[in-house]
Amino acid sequence: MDNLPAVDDTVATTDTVKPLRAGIGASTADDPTAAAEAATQAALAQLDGSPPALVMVLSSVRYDLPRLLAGVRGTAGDVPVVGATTSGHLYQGQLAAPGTGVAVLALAGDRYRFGVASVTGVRADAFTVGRQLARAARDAAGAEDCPHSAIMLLVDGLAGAQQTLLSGVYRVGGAAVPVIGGAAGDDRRLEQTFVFDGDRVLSDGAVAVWIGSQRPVRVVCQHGWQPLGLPQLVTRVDGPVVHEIGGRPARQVFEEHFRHHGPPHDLVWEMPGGHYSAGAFGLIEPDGSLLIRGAFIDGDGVIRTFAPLPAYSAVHLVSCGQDDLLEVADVIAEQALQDVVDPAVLLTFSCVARLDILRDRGAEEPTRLQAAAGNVPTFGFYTYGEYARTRGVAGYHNATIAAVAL
Amino acid sequence: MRRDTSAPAVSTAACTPVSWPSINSTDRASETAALRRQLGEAVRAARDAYRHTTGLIRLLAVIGQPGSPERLIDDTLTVLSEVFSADMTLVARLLDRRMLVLACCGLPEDDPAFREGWTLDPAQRSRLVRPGRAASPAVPGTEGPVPELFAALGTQAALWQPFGPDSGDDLLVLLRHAHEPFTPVDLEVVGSVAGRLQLAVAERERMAAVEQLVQSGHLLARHLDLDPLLAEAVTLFRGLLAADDTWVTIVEARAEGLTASVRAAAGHSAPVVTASTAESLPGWTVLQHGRPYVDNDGVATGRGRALLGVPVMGETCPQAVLYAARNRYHPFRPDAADLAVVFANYLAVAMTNAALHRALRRSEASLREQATHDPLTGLANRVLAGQRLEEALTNHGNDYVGLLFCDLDGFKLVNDRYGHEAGDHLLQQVASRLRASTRDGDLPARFGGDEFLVVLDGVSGVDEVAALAETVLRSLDSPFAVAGRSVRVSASIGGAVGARGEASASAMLRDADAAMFIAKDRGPGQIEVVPTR
Repeated sequence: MDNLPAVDDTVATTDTVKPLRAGIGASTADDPTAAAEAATQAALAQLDGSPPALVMVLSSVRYDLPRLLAGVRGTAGDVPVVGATTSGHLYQGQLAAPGTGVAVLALAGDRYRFGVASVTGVRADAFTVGRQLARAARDAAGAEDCPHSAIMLLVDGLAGAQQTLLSGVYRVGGAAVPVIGGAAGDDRRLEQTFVFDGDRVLSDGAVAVWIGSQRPVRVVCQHGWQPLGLPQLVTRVDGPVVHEIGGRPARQVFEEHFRHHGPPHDLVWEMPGGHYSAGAFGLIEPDGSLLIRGAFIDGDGVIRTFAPLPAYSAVHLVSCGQDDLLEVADVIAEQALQDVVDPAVLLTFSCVARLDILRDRGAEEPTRLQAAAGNVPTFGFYTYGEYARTRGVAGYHNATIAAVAL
Repeated sequence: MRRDTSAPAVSTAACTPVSWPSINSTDRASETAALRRQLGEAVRAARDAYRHTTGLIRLLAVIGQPGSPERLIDDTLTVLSEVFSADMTLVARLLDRRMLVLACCGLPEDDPAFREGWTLDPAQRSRLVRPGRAASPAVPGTEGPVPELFAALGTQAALWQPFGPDSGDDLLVLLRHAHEPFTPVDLEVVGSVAGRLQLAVAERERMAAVEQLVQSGHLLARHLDLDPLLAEAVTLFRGLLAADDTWVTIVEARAEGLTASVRAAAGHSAPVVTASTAESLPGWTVLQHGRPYVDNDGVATGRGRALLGVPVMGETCPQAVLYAARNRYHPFRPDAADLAVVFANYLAVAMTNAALHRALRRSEASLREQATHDPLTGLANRVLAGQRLEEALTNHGNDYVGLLFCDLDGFKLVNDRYGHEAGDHLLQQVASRLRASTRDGDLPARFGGDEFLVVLDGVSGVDEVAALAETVLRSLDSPFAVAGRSVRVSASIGGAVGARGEASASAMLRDADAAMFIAKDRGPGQIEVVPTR
């Protein structure tokens, strides 16, 4: 609970501001149009007739995505639609496993001013498109009269350079604008992910929602990973491949740690693709906290990370148990909802690596999140990386859960 | 926000087993706790040491990467933010009563601090010219509470390190919103980075300036016309000095003295200062001696704009003055004048080239005129007439091309009676009447002696040529004033009509000449027109 930004309770909600209403619907129908219409109708039905201000769509990559979006827009009408493909999503305590369905969140009310924008070309120049994205979303929001803002990012999960994109966003909004969001998934296929803006399905793209607010918007994140042994210096990396740790072969150091310090044996397992998900790197932050970078041993026996480690990183090797991961669900819901007046929804972005480690206990995370959130509905997805920027420019995480209450 | 990992759980399973002395369980528990505490401290110490090492290596690596000076500063600020978890990292410049933000990672990009800076009182200024750390509330070992201008940003911890060529006028600043004071080691690391950053930026700026100057020389030299040259010059000058506005004022020596007039400008607004005489140009007393002029206080502009002027020297005095203006919160650095002088020399060379080119073109035009015109009458000569006739016959069209061959009647008598000078005077008057009596687009020419041609580009046939010949003939009816006397001359005119794409110039000349003789045989002032087959 330490270091939470203070929420200004002195800001009074004016009578003219309608409370935020959230409606959530989901479908696992095979036909994209039928699935979209069913989920959207269910979401809109909970708004009691209020027109939606923003619709968020989370979907398995298995669908014909243009038809899916057409179904959503055909039902919701002329309203900003954003979204992403996922590796599973969660809503109201339910888990939609990777490859199953679609979930829709509809938000109504004028508590927040939403501005939507999108870009492509993340791979070519992430910093520049990050800047363009934030500027366009800010301009679309027209929220100059809002004293506080936040940005929600949904980004192609395989485009790389996610932190660089975040640095571009940071140059526009600055330290006062927290960032929340997730990198899109593709049902664990690791082939191609997409984000949505209106009726457009974007690859190598990113979509942003600028959230103008009369109150501070608090972004929180937790991971539950535990450091093992002494800190280490990563002495040779090449992009996502870690060659040496402390001047020794990385594989050797990796295995030594997990053999001696690792979690129970049944959690040190390999994914069908060769993933070694219960072991990861924790980048040591100035305050002693750890920025998690997921790692796995590939088919060639090489240690890879999902996001490149900077050269000469100071790291802890970290591991976790299922209970470690599940416990932070309680913590994060509590932190996100603390001091928030009349929250309508708890948005969460949890890493698919967590789902991998939780295995047959995967459904417990959505359940515990919803239990901790009480009567505030939960909505979110399993990502290929999480955005939670609250301090400084760094804010791209792996194997973490990030949340914001609106 | 993040879980407290300051005392990481460390498994002891890998430790070498030890033989414990025989002691009771309470002592053993106490000793184990002490060992765990020591191990925790060792882990923390190792973690901090690695973190500092990592931070320094990352910072040195980013400073070593290629790129522009702006990119270097941008990237360094980003890595500083990451390495120190700083909410804001910035490079700022200390002015008298302001701190201007030159680059920042953490302020919104449209923040006024980039344009106007923050107010800085003398007490804060004197504090910031020395490296320091501060925290609010203050903690032992720091320089007291965070300076007001940083505290106003909601920051509770600050670190600043002066750097820059004029020691102390630029600052590298790190700010945190949380009350997590920077450590003495942090200050040492930032101090080391600041020094290297300053050297790297200076080197990149020098290289960038040299590169720009080299390119400028090429880019200016390609212009041979003055206006495009000056337009390019003010644009390049603006980029070179990172100025808001630039313009060039041309200085010319005229009867009323040295005049000044703005000839080209680039930037956001109109030239800041204008003058009609060189003497009233800002800094002229310096500029006229070939030296640059810098007014960073905005005195000359009267509008709070820093101004730099540099003369573009002619042979003895400036032929132009290049001016650049900037927001006075972004004053010109000392090396800006040096760059400007080199650039002005390039422009001087290019302007000289342009002037030589103009002279050359005038000379070429004169030569061309001499080669194709008759010097006595100013009419086209037979060469040009032949070319135009060929061109006309080559052109497409349903109409025809005509040619008149005019031989003056009675010219020899005037020449013999009144002399060659009078004859020449008569020829000049005849030429003048020919010009006046022919259509626009027709070409009157002197064939030689008292013979003239008229190329008629576009006639309907023999009748129209005859009518045009009649017009020419009538223009000679009134008497000419020669040697104080009034004389009359007429002409025998032969005409030829040729079809485009069929007749040749030589055939038409032949036919017109023959027709002229036929007309002359009939007596003075006669016309004969024939078709050329």
